[in-house]
Amino acid sequence: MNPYKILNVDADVTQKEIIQAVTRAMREKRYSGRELAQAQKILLDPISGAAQRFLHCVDLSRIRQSLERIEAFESNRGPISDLTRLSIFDEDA
Amino acid sequence: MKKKKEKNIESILARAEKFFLDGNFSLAMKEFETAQKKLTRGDIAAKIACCRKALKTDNAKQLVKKARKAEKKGDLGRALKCFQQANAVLNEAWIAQRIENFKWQLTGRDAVSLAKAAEAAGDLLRAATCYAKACDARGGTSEPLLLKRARCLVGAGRYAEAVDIFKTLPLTKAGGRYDYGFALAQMGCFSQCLRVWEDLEVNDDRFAEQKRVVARRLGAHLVDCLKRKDDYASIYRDAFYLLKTDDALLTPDQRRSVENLYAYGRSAWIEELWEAEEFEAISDILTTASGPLTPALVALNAKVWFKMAEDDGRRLHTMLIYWLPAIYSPSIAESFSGSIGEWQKVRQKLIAMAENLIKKHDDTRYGGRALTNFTIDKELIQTLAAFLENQEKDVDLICTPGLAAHLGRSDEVLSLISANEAFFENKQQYLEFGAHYTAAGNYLYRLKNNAYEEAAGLLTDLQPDLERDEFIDYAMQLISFEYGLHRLENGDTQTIRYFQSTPALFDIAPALERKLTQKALAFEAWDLLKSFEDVLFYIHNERPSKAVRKALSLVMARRAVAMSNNGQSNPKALKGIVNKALKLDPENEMATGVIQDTVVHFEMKAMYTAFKRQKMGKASRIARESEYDEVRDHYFGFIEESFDQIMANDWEREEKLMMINDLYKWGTTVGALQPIMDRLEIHLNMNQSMVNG
Repeated sequence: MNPYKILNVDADVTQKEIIQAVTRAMREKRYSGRELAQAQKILLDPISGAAQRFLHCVDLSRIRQSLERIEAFESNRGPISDLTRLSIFDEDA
Repeated sequence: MKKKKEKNIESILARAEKFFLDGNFSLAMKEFETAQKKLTRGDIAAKIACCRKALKTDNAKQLVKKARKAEKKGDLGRALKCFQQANAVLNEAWIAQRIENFKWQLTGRDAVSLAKAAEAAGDLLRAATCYAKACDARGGTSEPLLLKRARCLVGAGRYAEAVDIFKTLPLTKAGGRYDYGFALAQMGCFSQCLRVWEDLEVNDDRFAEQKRVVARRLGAHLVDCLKRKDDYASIYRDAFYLLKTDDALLTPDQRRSVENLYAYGRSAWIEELWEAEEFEAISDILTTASGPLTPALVALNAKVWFKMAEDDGRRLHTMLIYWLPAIYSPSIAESFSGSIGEWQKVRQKLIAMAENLIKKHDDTRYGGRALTNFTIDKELIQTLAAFLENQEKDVDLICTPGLAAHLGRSDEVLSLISANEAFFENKQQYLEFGAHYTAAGNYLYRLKNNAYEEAAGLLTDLQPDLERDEFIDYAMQLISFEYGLHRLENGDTQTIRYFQSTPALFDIAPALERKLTQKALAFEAWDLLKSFEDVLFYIHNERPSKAVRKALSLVMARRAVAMSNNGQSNPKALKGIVNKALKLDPENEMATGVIQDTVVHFEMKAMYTAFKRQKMGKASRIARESEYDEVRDHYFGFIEESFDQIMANDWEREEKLMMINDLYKWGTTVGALQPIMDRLEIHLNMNQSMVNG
């Protein structure tokens, strides 16, 4: 069971947002009341919530933030029409 | 004269008929024509027409043969002409079909000539059209013509059409591959271009420069994709490709940028795949990933393999490599909660989740050992985490043996363990801990799973050139001991060789000494006891110790009794063995008790046999010589019983007195201070007085 999926919330969801998400999910009726209650209980509990967050959420933005700017190819844009066909292979068809 | 003339014509007709019947239509026609000149008859004219037709057919058949010969020689023009002439006479469908084919081929040949002329004149588009026509004339499947067409199209700048053709061709030669790559580059397919050019081994500076140009364009294209947040999969794949190709394609700066593109594309694409629950695809990326395995990637591996293991027990093994290192990584734990005190609670929760997952697969061969292995790993990583607590250095070494081996960092972990020997409670704990991180580690997991035969593989599998250290030595000693014990319990009588390193092991691990002695005392079958006795005897000789000496003494006594009970030894032998046991351990209460019980039992048996055979002398000697009062008590019990029986009988008084007197005499040889002896003496004295009185 993935409580984040059931309640359709992100990893950094607040307690208030959890309760709002439960209300919304109850209206949508995609999951049973029991599943919603269980998902809410898990996410409201800091220990269970942290464990579930570890298992179900992936956030690799820190890896991306740590990268330097990518500038080395700035002067290599545009069409490649300046590439002329070499004749060295003409005899080797 | 007329008759002679008629005879002459008749002979001509006869010859003509003969030739006709023989199928020689040429001579037959000649004869018929000679006769017709003279007779002018309708039947002869019909015969002449018949011969003429037959000659035409023969001629046509000859033409077919000539056509085939010309075809074989490649002279399609002559073959066509012959077939056409033959078919004017024969009019057969197959010849008509061949005539059509030849016409196509000749058209194609013409087209090739035209194409070559156009190529020579620099009109490559026209050349391509002619090659297309020539190819069509050959059924549209001529690879050489298709290749020529595609190359002309490249020359004419019609790249898309050329690429469509190149895609269908095997392209074994450099020229075709170069043009294919060139066309791809012109279409902006830089990555595909580099892949097509990949193994073109041409030592030409201009070509090398073109590859560099295309690589740089690819880099710029990937940057554009990244800025548009578009197609992370291609960014990852193409950057990965660029990184593993020739270094000379990129400058160091460009290479660094590609590394960043790769890391960026990979992380972004993984996030997309995660949302789509494409865990298998993520695991493929992670498996082929280059670069360091950061804590974030360890955690990602852990959860991806966890997700896959939910449905497939085969994934448990890999999941367990990453799970504990991920949740014990300080940098990952930071994301659990702001409070350090809560980290441990979250970890326990995550450990329980993993254990539940393992239990779910408990009935499969993948889950069977996983729980034991996980328990071992849990202890190992908790210990590592404990002695690295509050240290910033080496925290990335908090890992299971599986991950350490995967990362090639086992030696670093072992150095860390060696440097922290004082942390461990005793030498055994230290060695056993470290042994799990050596090449012998896997065998220890098997041992803990009671897979003794697999564990014993260590004793034979380990590479002879492997550098041995104290950890591996310990693992070998331990496995040899445990395997020997296992074989011993299962009836192997030749196990001494497995215990040759045990004396040294017992110095390190006294608990194992207790284990052996307790096991030895748990068996009753004399043959098993003999094997245990042999092992204990060997160990006692090599490394005398109180525990082994006492166990050996007990096992000896027990085996002697077991043998005696099975009728495999006599009281004398029994006594001899038990005495030896008592010599080893004079405090062996069991031996003392056993010897007493057994000897008493056998002496009484012998004494009663003597009574039964009325050999009172022998019975008295057994009672007299016995070390046990119990034997004498039984002896005098018998005397008393006999006295009562004598008295109860109505024999003559003298006869009774004689018998009682005999009893008394035998009794005094054993001992006089017995109540029954007093009774006998009183009875004898009273009767003697009566006789005298």
